[in-house]
Amino acid sequence: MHKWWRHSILELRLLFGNPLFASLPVIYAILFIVMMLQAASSNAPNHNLFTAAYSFHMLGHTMTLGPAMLIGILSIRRDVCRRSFEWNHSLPVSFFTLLTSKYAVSLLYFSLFTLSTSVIFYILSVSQGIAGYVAIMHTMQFALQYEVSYMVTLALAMLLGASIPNRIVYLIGFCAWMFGTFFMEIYIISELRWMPAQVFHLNQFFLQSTRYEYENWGYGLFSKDINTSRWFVLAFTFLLLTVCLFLLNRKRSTMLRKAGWFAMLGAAVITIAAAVPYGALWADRYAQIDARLVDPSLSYIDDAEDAFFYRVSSYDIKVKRLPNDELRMTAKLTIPAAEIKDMKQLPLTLNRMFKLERVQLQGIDARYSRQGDRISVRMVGDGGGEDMQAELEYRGKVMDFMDGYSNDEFAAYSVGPEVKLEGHLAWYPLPGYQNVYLKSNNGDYPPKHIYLGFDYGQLRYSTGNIKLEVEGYPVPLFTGLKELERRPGYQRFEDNGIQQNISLYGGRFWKELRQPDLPITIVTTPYLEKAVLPIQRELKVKYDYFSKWAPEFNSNAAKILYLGQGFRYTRVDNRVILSSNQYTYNFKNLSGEWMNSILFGNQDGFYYYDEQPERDMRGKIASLFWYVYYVEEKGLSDKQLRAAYGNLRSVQQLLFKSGRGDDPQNRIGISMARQVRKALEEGKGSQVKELLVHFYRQGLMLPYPKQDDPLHPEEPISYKEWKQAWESIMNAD
Amino acid sequence: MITIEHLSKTYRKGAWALLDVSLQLDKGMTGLLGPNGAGKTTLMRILATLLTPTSGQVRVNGISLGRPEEIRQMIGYLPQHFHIYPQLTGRDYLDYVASMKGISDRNARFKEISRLLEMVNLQEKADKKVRTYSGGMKQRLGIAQALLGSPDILIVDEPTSGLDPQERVRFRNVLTRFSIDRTVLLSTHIVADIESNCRHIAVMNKGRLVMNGSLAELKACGKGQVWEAVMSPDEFTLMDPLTVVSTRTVPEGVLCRFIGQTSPAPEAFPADPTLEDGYLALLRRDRYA
Repeated sequence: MHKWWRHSILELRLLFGNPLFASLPVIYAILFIVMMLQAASSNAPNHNLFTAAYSFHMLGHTMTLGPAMLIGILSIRRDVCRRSFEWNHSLPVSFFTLLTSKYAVSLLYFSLFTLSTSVIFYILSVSQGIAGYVAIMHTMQFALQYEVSYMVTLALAMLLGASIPNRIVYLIGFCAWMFGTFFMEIYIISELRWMPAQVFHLNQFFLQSTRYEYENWGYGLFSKDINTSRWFVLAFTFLLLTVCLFLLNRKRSTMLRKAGWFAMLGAAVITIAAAVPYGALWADRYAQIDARLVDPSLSYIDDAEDAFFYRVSSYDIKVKRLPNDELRMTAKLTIPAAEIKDMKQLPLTLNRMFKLERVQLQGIDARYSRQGDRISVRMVGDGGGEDMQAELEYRGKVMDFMDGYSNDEFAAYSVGPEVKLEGHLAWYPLPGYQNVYLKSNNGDYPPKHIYLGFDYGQLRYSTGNIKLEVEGYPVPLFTGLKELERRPGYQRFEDNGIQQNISLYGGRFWKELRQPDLPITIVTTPYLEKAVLPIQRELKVKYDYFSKWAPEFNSNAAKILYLGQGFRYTRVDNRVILSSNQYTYNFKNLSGEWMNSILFGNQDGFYYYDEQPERDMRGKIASLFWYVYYVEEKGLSDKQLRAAYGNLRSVQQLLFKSGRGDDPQNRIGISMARQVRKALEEGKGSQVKELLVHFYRQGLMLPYPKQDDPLHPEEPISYKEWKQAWESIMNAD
Repeated sequence: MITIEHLSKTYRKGAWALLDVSLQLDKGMTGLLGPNGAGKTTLMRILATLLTPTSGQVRVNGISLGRPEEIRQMIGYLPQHFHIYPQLTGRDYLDYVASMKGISDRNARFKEISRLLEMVNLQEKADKKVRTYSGGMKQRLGIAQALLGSPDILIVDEPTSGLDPQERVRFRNVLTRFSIDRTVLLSTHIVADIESNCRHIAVMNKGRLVMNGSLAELKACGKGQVWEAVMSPDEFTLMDPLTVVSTRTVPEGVLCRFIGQTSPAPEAFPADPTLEDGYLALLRRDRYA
């Protein structure tokens, strides 16, 4: 041990005797603290401490792997692989002592990078009001990832140093660094979509994937991936070091040659054994994809069958999560007799992830057949004209891998507290045969990828009543339904007359932020809280403004789920507004986005309608609410509004829809804005508001044309109607 | 004591670096002579456990090369090409080597290092960084590290190259003292080093051991083959340069010393061979054998 210790001191001295190497950890810490202080002083949601730290690690840590590669190679080439240092080999010291000492010292050196970033991140997090246990959890995740990356990189570099005798090894080390980071990610993981290769990425702070970039649905969700891959990486590191030691021992006579062979063999066996759980994880995922690709019941994207559909009057769903993450569910559906008249088979859609245990119709076990997501339940008799009661019991674990380039990596999951179960994944039985998944297009034969039917507007939901009970989760879950009861591990939700598209969301450490006199709760993550609070205050200002003159708001929104990632655009799911930082580009107008959803509800169809204002003015009229707000509350001119293009919710519908503000294609929008401004200037603000409220009562919701059909109780408002209403209200006196 | 039996070594290219070398090195100093590429360094690296022989047996104090870790406990080795970490001072370097040789007691290390620094005349530069040392100083530091721990066996490969005459003499004395009751193998090109220190001598050529014996025996190899003649400069330029061993300018012209079976010139007369003559005659004989 004395020799090991003495050699370690020598290695430390050689490392810190080099001014460049000695200064690197200090420079790194300074850069990190500058970035973190910037983030700490910022209120931008996309620049919170967590995201800023991750962004720094993505590039910063990758760059430190270069020195790791250099130092690893250098530590071997400096003496043990140099002929003029042969005196070293004649000393009674084993290469095991030298190698382990060099490795430990190099790792200790790089631990300085880990230590500095960890301490800075933790202290700043806590000083920003993040709970200590949350901060330490994220700090440990980053620190562990740093250390594991350094361990494998150093081992690889030392092996290169021991196996390649001349100086070209430095070039090869450089290539290994580039290949193991940028090339691996850009070409192998992102382009070729060979996801299991993630384990070979040297630092796991991905530039192109958002897997761990946000607090929600990141490290917690992928803990199994992380654990299995880290065990593999550690075993692989051990193998690299064993091979390195074996190669070094070939440089001189030793009694340990046989032991070296056995050690190498043992390390190889351990590595293979460690690869099995990780490989099995991905094998299962690809098997799921393969099974879908060959499933004849799945349609092609460009040839999707129209869903056979009927209305369900009510759902009663019970979800029980077991400690092993298995979900046991019971879904009771009530189907009006008229909907299924003369049908011999009751068609239902339930995601194939779930194993169906029992189906009952009218309380009697029924026979059924299943192909993929499609279930066909044999109906006996005509039900005597009564509503059909169907009950399904099913169970399964949810981690739905998607391999297509344009998809999120996982479409649905329920892993511990990390939950994303959306209605379009058919986690409860949907009426008829629906396209939960689609194969890549017909010309792509055989099909290579699976996509979500939801992304292609293929899902249909009926309207009706819903009851939902959830138990067994360690955190509260959030959904668009009204929450009636909540106690630890149990929640009960219910709503009537709503679109039966039910989603469940949950994650560890999420916080519910409330503000007095604002009936909207914002659910967010700890590191986003600081950015959300001022947005919540802005929301209150807008909420109060519209509350003064608009009647009860058309949406039932009671909660806003604002997370780092997970939702591509702000949308309304009955009582909850879903919004994420990842795809939000105008943070300054986030409160406007949310208020718009509170005011008008679902406007998914906003961007899908061809603009034909003569026939349908709903988009323009909704925009006028905001136009009035900006003119009246902020005193903005049209010029200023044009200058703020994109930042002011909906106003572009009036002024910019077709390009420049004076575009003749937008005559109607521009003339409406002029009309309203003139009226406001003439002191007719109350009439303008009365006019807008008149149309608001008629309904200004703009749901997505196909999948939200049942939500289409509102009729289009024609330009003629607008003119008539204007004349009658504005000229009333 | 080192016993070498039928030792051979071939490298990947197939040429024999050592071929059937058998030799016994007793206590005292043995000189290893031979031209470049004779296999001296290969032999020394095998003895220092850095190389594994292709065939043959070696025993160092009765321990076979199959147990190299034990042999390393008892040897001191100075390779032909020697570099040290330039960031260290001479004392720190020796402290490191002493630790690696198992001297864990701090005081014992300090005493031993001070003694050796004085022995190699480096005490004044001991606390300076090695990067400030001249080539000769580094060589002396190398000698000191090989002597650290008073090993039973000392293997030194060309230790005096780069030393000035004064240091060379000093080094010879150090080695002579050290070789009492120890086995020292000294490889060198400088015949004078051997002449002043060694009791035994081994000459290698083309991987083979061509002579193993005393200094007198080597000297005897040149008997009847050494000639001297005084020649004019013009006559000297016509002589085969391979036969001329040395020249000296004298008032009558150039006094030349030749090696050859026959007299190189009518005026040449036989001369008593020196050790160098014996060595050259031996190599010449081996070349034409």
